[in-house]
Amino acid sequence: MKVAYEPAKYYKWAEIQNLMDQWCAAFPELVKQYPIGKTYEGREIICLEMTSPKGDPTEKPGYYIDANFHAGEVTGSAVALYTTSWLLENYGTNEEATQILDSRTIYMVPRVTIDGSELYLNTPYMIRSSVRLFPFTEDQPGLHGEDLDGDGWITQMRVKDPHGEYKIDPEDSRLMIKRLPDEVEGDFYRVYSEGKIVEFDGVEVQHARSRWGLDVNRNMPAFWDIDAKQIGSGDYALSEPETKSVADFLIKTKNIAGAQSYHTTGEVHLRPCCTTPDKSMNPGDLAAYKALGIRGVEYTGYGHCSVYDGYLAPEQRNSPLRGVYLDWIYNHRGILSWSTELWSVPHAAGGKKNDFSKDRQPYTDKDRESDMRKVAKWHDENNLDNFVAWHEFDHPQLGKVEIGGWKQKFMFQNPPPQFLPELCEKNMKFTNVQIRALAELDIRKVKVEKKAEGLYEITCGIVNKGYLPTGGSHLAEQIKVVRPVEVSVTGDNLQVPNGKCILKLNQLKGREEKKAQWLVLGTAGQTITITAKSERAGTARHSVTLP
Amino acid sequence: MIKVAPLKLDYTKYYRYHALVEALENFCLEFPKLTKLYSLGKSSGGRDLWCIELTNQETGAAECKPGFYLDGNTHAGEVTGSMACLYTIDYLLNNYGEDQQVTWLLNNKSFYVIPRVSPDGAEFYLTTPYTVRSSDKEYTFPDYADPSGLSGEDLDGDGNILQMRVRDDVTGTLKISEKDPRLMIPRSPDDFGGEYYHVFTEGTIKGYDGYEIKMAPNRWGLDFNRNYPINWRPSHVQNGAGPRPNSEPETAAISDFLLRQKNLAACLYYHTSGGEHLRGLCIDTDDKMNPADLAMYKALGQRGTDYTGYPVKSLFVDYTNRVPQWGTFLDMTFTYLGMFSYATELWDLMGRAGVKDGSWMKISKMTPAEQEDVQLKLLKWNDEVMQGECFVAWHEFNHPQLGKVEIGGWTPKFGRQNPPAKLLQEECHKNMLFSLAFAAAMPGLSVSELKADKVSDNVYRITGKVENIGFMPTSGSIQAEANKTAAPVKVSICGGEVLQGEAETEVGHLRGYGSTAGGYMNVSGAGSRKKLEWLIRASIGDCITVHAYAPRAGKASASVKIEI
Repeated sequence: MKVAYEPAKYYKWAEIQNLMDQWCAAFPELVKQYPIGKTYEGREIICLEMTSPKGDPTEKPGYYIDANFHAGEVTGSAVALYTTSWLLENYGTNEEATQILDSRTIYMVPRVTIDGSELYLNTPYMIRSSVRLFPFTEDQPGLHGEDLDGDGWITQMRVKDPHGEYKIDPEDSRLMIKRLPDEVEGDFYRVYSEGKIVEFDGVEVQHARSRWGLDVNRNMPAFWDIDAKQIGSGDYALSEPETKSVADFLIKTKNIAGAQSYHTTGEVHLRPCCTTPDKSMNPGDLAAYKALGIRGVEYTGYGHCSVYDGYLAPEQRNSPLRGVYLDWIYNHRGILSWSTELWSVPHAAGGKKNDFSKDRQPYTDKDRESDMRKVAKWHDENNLDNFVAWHEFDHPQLGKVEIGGWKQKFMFQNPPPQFLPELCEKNMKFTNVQIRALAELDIRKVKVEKKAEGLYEITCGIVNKGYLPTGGSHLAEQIKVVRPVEVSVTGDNLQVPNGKCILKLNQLKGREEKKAQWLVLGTAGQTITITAKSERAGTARHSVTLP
Repeated sequence: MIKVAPLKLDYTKYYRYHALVEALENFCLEFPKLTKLYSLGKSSGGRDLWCIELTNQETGAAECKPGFYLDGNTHAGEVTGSMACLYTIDYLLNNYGEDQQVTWLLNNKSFYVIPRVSPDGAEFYLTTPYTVRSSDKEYTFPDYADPSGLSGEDLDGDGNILQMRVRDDVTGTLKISEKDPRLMIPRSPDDFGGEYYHVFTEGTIKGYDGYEIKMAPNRWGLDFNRNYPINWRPSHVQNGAGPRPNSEPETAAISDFLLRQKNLAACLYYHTSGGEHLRGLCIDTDDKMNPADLAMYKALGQRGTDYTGYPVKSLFVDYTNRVPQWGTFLDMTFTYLGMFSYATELWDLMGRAGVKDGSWMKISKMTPAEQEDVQLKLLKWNDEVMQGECFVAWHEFNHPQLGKVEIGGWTPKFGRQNPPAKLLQEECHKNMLFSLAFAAAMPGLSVSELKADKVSDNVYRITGKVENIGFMPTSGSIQAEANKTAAPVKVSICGGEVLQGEAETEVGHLRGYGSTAGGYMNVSGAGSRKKLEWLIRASIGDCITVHAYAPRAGKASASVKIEI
């Protein structure tokens, strides 16, 4: 390897910057970096543009990958870094890496919410996305998570209470399970997040909303609604610098034809829509999504479904998710994108698998309890150190409590780092399939027929070599976010008598061929060039000599 | 296995009305401090609708505790329900003082048990060959309907109305199964040249013209469980609905009882058959229910499945396949009054016969071969467990109108609709266990941590806490709060002069410990407790008492003496 890079590690931002600098220095022909905007705290959000010197980057189908839209979901960054390293290091020696960088331009944004991730990686706090205080600048009344005992983790506190909801699991005393509806007597507990209560009246304990109340993945313009209707959505669509940067970049980078976003958790490849069912989606796009999703099952073992039909529980469909990036990039820009939810510790431990179908069985308390026992066993078998043993603590407000519980960050929300390499590799493979499925223009079956002295008939086939349509999706053409395919013929002093030098074609479906034909006035022996240009399916050129 | 005190009644038979009343009266004679018996009204036929109220009167009056409503036999033929109610009463009374859970229940909660909602129809069912849906009152819809047609009659006098099969090789729609000559299976569209039959209810045809046989309109066309006033629709939309909501004295009496008995907090009622616990909603999908209620509803139903093995189903979504049922009792008790309610269909014949999911929804999607297989399993159960008694072999009979027919078929009442008497007790016991677990989950109040701190001469700050210590909220459900059918918790203080604060105040509703059910996000204890605070004028030696009360959550109080 030209650049030393550790797959089984979570990188902080300065370390990522260092890596990106090293890659750009080691592979100047294949990668360059530039900012696409700034975060709330003023950090530059960096995009790595990767493509081989073969051809103009803007004339190749583009694929956009981002990670860490949610601050804690740092696994995504790991996949982004893994993919970058693999492409750069293997270009020229591996067939797939070579083909990808030769025929595509990859736009890789390894970390979107940099401020939040820094907080996540350097402090005990959990945070959803941005560090901007929202909706209020002062802490709201109620329980806020705090690392009271200074062990570097915000875990839980349990308090003995004859009317509590929880009891100690007789099978594993680390775990707390629910008390049954008819269990009127026993040793019960309240279980809270480790923390302090603002404006405690001595009796009531309620969760306070996190001071970092934004969810930038509800701040996008598609179906955006106010915070009261969709928690975390911000002041208005694209009110946050992070989302505005990403949106503006995607709009101005016209060759981007497909996208992948990395999140955690759950082990599912999610596709649009978030607010409407599959049956109202463009059927051609739905079919493509399903065919591509199946490859996910092969490579990652994850399920694939739409957010609305397969991910939301039936009772959640009344108030579906609004302002989501996935809905914006598809419904407003016509770009097929996946949001992959990486990692599931219950799955890793052999727990209940969600089938992500519309009529799936609900995940009950019993399921959760059974899965947690498996997770605890799995934790022990893998010699992890992710459980803080229950220990007494004198809480300034609640008196004698016990603090303990799971270290959430690198167990539940993200995998323990040793599990990263396998996870990264299989998800990269799935994304590579999406990249290779993009539309790609080509010109073939070129025929030149001399009709008369100096008059030639040029015929050729304009073909889409890729699986997806040249607009990126069928929807893209419907909503008019892509220009038609332009095919033209050029040469020195070449004349096209009917004036139609540039032919405008509708978007080509996957693996479709259309005929293009011109009558031209030229000179024998002259070389002319046929060009087929499309924003999202690249540009193809073919030269031919007039007989 | 819970140690069961010896029960008083004979559960190997089904009780007629007089035996039922006598049993209830004897319970009251034997356990006067735990029981009260009264009539809620009279049936169309003049029989009393008896309700027995169970609680330990020494720990408080029944109406001051959360009340659990239990009934059976709304549908005349579903007599298992009456026996299951009697069993529960029997079990509770005889295990009071012996069993910890029973003792706790009768000390802290009340039970209102109505063993037989349709006394007239049940009597008719138990003493004649006829089957009626609810009442034996004659009611036909439309009332101008031509009464001609086939009605069920016990033609051969064997005490049962079975079936008759009539041979007709041209128009017959059924044929005899090759696997069991008792079984009639559908004739395929391309079946010709064989022996085909029609199968009708055993009976006579009024106004028979010699050719056409149609069914006469139902003489006893009322369905009490479509006559309730919530989401009621007339009979042309909902079969059996009656002329108007609560047109029947039985349903009117029950409705009035529900509306005036303010401490009722949860309901369970017994029907047959199928082996399912049915929950709301009745005309809507689950997304129309508050999600926290839905989670709690399911958590409660899970206890049913734990004890009985029956699955929990939504009436609208899983049971009727989205065909709305109008004017049901379930809509009255849950959708309107906001009490978590389960209608248990007792007696899981299909399960006992080895059919994994014998619901009609599942069966209707099966192939003819699979359906035949289900029927054969039922016949096998009949042969092995009931010595073949539940199926009467086809035998020739000379029908006054149709000539040579064969009469035979399943005995409808004790085999299919109700368990045979020898299997009754098992059915009662496991369902009784669910009813006790369900009742234990009702809300309950506690006032605690009462303290008096001296502020200045004769002025004291009184602080304390009121808490819901039960599983369900003090309202019964969030549905009840939305519909305003459950009064909130009231707190009052007495024993001193109130200087700051209210002597009596409403503190709203308090969540129970079940509010975290199904992962519905709620921090532990959130909304289940409220801080109480007053400034009062009092003297040393005064006793300050704080009371808390909500109709569905009962009463609680605590006292503190002024000492310094």
